[in-house]
Order: sequence, then C-alpha cells, then structure tokens
Amino acid sequence: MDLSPTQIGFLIIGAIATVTFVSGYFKGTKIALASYNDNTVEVDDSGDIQTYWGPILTAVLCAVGIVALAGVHPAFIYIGPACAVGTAFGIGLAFFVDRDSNPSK
Amino acid sequence: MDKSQLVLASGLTQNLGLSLMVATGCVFLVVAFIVKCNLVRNTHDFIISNRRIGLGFGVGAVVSVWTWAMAVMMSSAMTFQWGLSGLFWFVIPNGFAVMAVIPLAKVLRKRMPAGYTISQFVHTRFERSRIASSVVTVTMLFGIVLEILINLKGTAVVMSTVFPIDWRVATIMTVVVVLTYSYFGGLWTSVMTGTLNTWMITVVAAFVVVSVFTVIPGGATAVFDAVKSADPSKLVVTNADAAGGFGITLAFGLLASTIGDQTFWQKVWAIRPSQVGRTFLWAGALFYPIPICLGMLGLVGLAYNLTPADLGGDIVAVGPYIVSHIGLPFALVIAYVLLILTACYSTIDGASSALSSIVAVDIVKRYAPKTSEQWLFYITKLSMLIGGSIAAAIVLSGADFTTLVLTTYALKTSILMPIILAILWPRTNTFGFVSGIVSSILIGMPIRHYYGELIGTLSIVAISAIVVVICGLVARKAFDMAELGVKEAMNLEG
Repeated sequence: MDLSPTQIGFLIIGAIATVTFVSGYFKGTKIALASYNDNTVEVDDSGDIQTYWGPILTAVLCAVGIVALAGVHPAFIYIGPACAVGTAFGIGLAFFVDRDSNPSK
Repeated sequence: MDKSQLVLASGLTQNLGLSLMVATGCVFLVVAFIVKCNLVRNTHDFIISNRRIGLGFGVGAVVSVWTWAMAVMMSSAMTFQWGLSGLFWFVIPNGFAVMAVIPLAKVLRKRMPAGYTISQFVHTRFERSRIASSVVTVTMLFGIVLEILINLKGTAVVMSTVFPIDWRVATIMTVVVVLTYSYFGGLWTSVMTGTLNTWMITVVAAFVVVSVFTVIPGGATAVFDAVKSADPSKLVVTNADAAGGFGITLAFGLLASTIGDQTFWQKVWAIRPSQVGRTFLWAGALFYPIPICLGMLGLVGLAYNLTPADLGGDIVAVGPYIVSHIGLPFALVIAYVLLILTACYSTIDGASSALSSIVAVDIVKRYAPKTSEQWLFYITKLSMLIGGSIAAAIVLSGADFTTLVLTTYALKTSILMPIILAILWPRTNTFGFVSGIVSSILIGMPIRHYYGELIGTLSIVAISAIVVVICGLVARKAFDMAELGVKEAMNLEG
C-alpha cells in the first residue's frame, strides 16, 4: 500500500502521541500499583470553580471552530483527525502533569 | 461521485470476527488479573479503587465510558443527515455535558468525601428518605441496564453487518467477554482497560478517517466540492433545523446522562479529590475531537449521495458502510471494527462497575447493613453478571425496548434539576425533591407525547425545577450541608 504524504504525516504524529500515551500509561500503572497501601487522606486543593469557566468556554469555542472550519475549506477536514491524535497525546500527558500522584511524596 | 464504486471489502469471515472479539477480551483479561492480584482487596477497592485514581486514568476512563459505540457511529450519522449543523449539535453538548459535572462534583466531593453513589447522597441529604433515594436508585439501575443493552445491540449490529456473524452470537460473545474481565478487577479494571481503549478511538480512528479521504479520487477536495454542489447548506453549522430536529433535546438528554448517571458519580468519588475538577475538564475537552474526527465520514456519505436504503435502512451504519466499502486496505477495516468494539466494551464494563457500586451501597448495605465483607464482595461481583445477563436477555429476546428507553428518559430528565438543586441549594427539601420528579413525569410525559420531544423535554426540566424551588421557598428551612460528611464516613471503608 502506497502511503500519501497526509497519511505519512498522521503516522508520524500518531507515533509521537502513541509514545507519550504508552509511557504515561506505564507511569500511571506503576503509581497505581504503588498506591495499594496508601491510605493518605487527601483534600481538594485544586482551584475554585471560577477558575474552570475560562477553560470550559475555550474548549467549547475551539470545538465549534473546528466543526465550522470543516465547511470552509477541504484542508480543514483534517483538523478533526489531527485533534483526535492530540487527544491520545493529551491523555498520555495527563499522567505526567499529575505530579501529586506519587504516593511517596 | 459514483456510489456504484463502493464495494464491500473481501476476507471478512465469521472466524475472523469472533477471533477479534475474543482476542480483545483476552488482552483485557490479562489487565484484569494484574489488577485483581495487585489492587483489589475488598469491596471498597472493587467499587471505588481506594479513591486513588489519578488524572491520567481519570481522563482516560471518563473519555472511554462517554464514547459509546453508538456515539462513534452517531457522529457520522448526524453529519450525514444534517450536514455540519448535525455534527455541531451532536458534538458541542456532548463535551459540555462532561464538563458540566465539574461544579457539582467539586461541591459533593468536598462535602461528602467518603461517598460512593449519587443515591447514597440523596439518601443522606433527604433525611434518609426511602422514596427519594429509591427513585434515584431505580433511575440509575434503569440507566445502566439501558447503557449495557444499547452497547450490546450496537456491537451486535456492527459485527453482524461487517462479518457474517449471527447477531445473537455477537451479543452473547460480547456479554461473556466483557463480564469475564470486568468480574475480576471492578473499577480499576474498567479504568485501565478503558484508558487503553482511548488509544484505539483516537489514533487509530484518525488514521482510518484520513485513509478514507486518501483512497477517494480527488481526496478531501472532491468530497468538499461534491457536498457543496449538492447542497451548500450541509457545510454550515447554522442550520436551525438541526437544532430543532434533535440538537436542543439531545443537549438536555446528554446533561441528564452525565449528571444522572452513576457511571460518572462513581468516578467522582474514586478520583483523588485534587484531580476531580481537572479530570472532567480535560476529559470534556479531549473528548471533542473524537466525534468530530469520525463525523467527517458523514461528509463522505453525502458526497457519494448515499441513501438510507443503501445503508440497510439505518443511517447509523453510514460510518461502518463507508469504511468497509470505500476500498481501504483490509487491516484498516479491521482496525475500524476494533475501535467500535473497544468503545462498546469500555462503556459496558464502566456501566457494570457502576452497577456493582449501587448494589453494594444502595441495596445490600442499606437493606442488610450487617452483611459481612466477604458476602458483600461476592454479591457485588455477582451483580455485574446478573445485570449483564438481564441486558443480554432483553436484546436476545428481540423485544422492543422502547418502554425501557422511554422510562429511563423520563426518570433521567426529571431528576436532572432536582439533583442539581439538591447539591447546590440547601433549601431543597424532601417533599420538593420527590414532588418535582413525580409532577414533571406526570405532566411532562403527556406533553412530550402530544407536542413532541423538544417541548416535552423543556417542560419536564422546567416543571421539576419550579416545583423544587417553590417547595424550598415555602418551607424556609435550609439543610446543613456539613452533615453529609459526618453521616457518611462509614459504610465500606476498611
């Protein structure tokens, strides 16, 4: 099967996302296994609800923009798939962003 | 673009289909055994993961349970039916519904840190009212059974469409595979396998969709031009027909599906408290690209001028039809089937896990509080098998489950505002809560029957809220939310 440049591009970003996803997944699993005997009582020290409205609005507006752009030019049809790869990358990243998840800290 | 060029891919045998179902289950079974041996000691671990789920697994789990098999296919179907307006109204409320949980989750997690289920909250919040908590428990049970059977049905439809597999065999295989691996590890298994599945519904889905556009002569430009020349309105998001046709009703239905679903509340109490808000924010935002990506297949259906008759009468099949007929390499067709399969598996195991928490906390511990831990553990696990078997039996019977869908819809929509008010407004009282739900069903459902879904849904939501507010204002008595934590720091802990 001959791959088009677009497919090759998606294979590359897909590989980057996959590496991030897999390494995050293993990190998360390791931390989860280490938490077996962790009975620390945690409290919610994350931001107040007010700090969430901005990101929520941004996420909604970005989604609206991506859907709308698909009707403007054919090239924008690929934004959705590219962002889907970004979702895998984001989930992988979430394991690393969660610094507090190490029970030894 | 000539639809006569679309031909079903060859080599899709029954054995291959069954092997895919079993192989996926075997991979998850390995994960389940690791979880069982290392993370699950008792019922508490089984249903709430010792409240140690972090941001990564939290986001993966929420995204995976929210990506129903039908959602994967519906995004393409709505684009096919309404154009980009359909995709807009399908996608935007979907992600928002997940993020809408944040304010409620943060409040409840803070005030009731040792909670397990939303009906446990209602039980405590409304002076241990059996009526109030029973209404919520029944709603959750109906919702979970419906979730399982819709996904069983979805898998059966896809597997029997793409492969020459009897839909009954596909249904039995699915329920056996999912319940086998879910049985061993409970919520941790659901969370870990669900997170794995998100890789399939993102990276693999993206590559399949891009490949579809690559094999079409002229690529995305040809698709875009064909849709534009046939009906330019299909390329804009401002078509009001889509909003009135399904969008606004769907938006409320989706809100009720997250806020009124134990699958999500179980995660609210299982995720580490400092990560609850972030988890639902990330999950909602990261969910968006999945239906947008798969929705692009609907544009291909429009470009080829397909009709529902071409799709076997059901437009939900537009995605699978395009992928299996467009001329993709065999491996990519299999990859697409696998991603639908995994989306379905993760929703069913998530629902089964939620069911186990309801049975343990809201049924066994409430009505037989002296049940020993060992028995509770067995009953909890057994409840997953029973729930899955009931759902499978309903699907296999070929019964029309419209009644179940309508009942669940009525209950979920009617408890939406009362639950929100119960969490956020201390003056919400037991009488108002129950009256709001009952009156909204009694008045709202007939309105829905005579005036359609949009007016009916708005009526149910409005009536339930107004009744709760009026009763709260009349009674002039506020509940002390601090009591939630004190009363519930018990049950299964330790």
